[in-house]
Amino acid sequence: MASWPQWLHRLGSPREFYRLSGRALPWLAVAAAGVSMVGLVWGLAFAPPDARQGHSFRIAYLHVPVSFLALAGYYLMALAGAVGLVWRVKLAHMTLRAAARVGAAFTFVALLTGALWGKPTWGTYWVWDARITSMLILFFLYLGVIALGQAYRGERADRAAAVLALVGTVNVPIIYKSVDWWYTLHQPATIKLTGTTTMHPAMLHPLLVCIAGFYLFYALLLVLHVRAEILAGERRTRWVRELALGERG
Amino acid sequence: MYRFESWGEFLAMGGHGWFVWGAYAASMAVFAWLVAAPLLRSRAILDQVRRAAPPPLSPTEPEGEA
Repeated sequence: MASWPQWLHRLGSPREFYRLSGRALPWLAVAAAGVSMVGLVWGLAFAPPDARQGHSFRIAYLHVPVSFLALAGYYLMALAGAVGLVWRVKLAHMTLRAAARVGAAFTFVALLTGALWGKPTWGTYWVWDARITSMLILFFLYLGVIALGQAYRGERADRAAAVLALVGTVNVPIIYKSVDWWYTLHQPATIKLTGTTTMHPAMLHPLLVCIAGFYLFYALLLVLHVRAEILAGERRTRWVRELALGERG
Repeated sequence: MYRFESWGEFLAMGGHGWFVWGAYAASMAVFAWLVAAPLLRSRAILDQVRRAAPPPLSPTEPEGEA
């Protein structure tokens, strides 16, 4: 029985992570697809329409979880960057690259679904509102981390991307607080971890299922992208060659 | 409880169909790409490694030649 630090050390090895994540992948995929589908179908067809917004409210079942993950994913990316900088763990830098790609795409989807929800609700696709503008900055931060990771080679790229990721974390609390600090068009958060949630249970329950489903989906995407990063980074190693030859036929 | 009288009504979304279905369709396209991109990349890397690898040494399974 391996002790905790040993176990952690083994999981930190790209090869070991690739092997273990390969086993978890089918279960994660089934769970992510199942829970998200239940949540989205519930939200689209069975939840009541909003009293004021009507059916356009159903965009929330997509927009809210994706926006959550775009923000939470930034913290995860910055944490991976910090671990990579301090302990020089290769897998941490690979996770940072993967999280940057998934995060950029999620932020893009958050902005896009927000625009499509904004038109029928506020009468405009886009407004330079505090929440929306800070989300756009988040998008550019993600793109910056991707670009820095590709601009240099090797360790320099890893360090530069990690530093930018860490510096960019100041933006995340601003996004969270933007709806409270500036009274703007974007509505304040309706789901609160502390305090009362101002949402009818018939709308809240499918939304919570969607959030759980998208957390699983994000985990699945992160694992898939980390695995691709591992193969790219370790392509010259013996185990990847054996893996490639083993997959023949 | 199902909220719509018919499929047509479900698609219309009370006049907001373009926005609701547009948001879902565009998002699904991005998600499909997010799943496919790393899988295609992984496969391309493994293919490349396989081509660069030396031929197998085992004489028990000759490839093509008699």
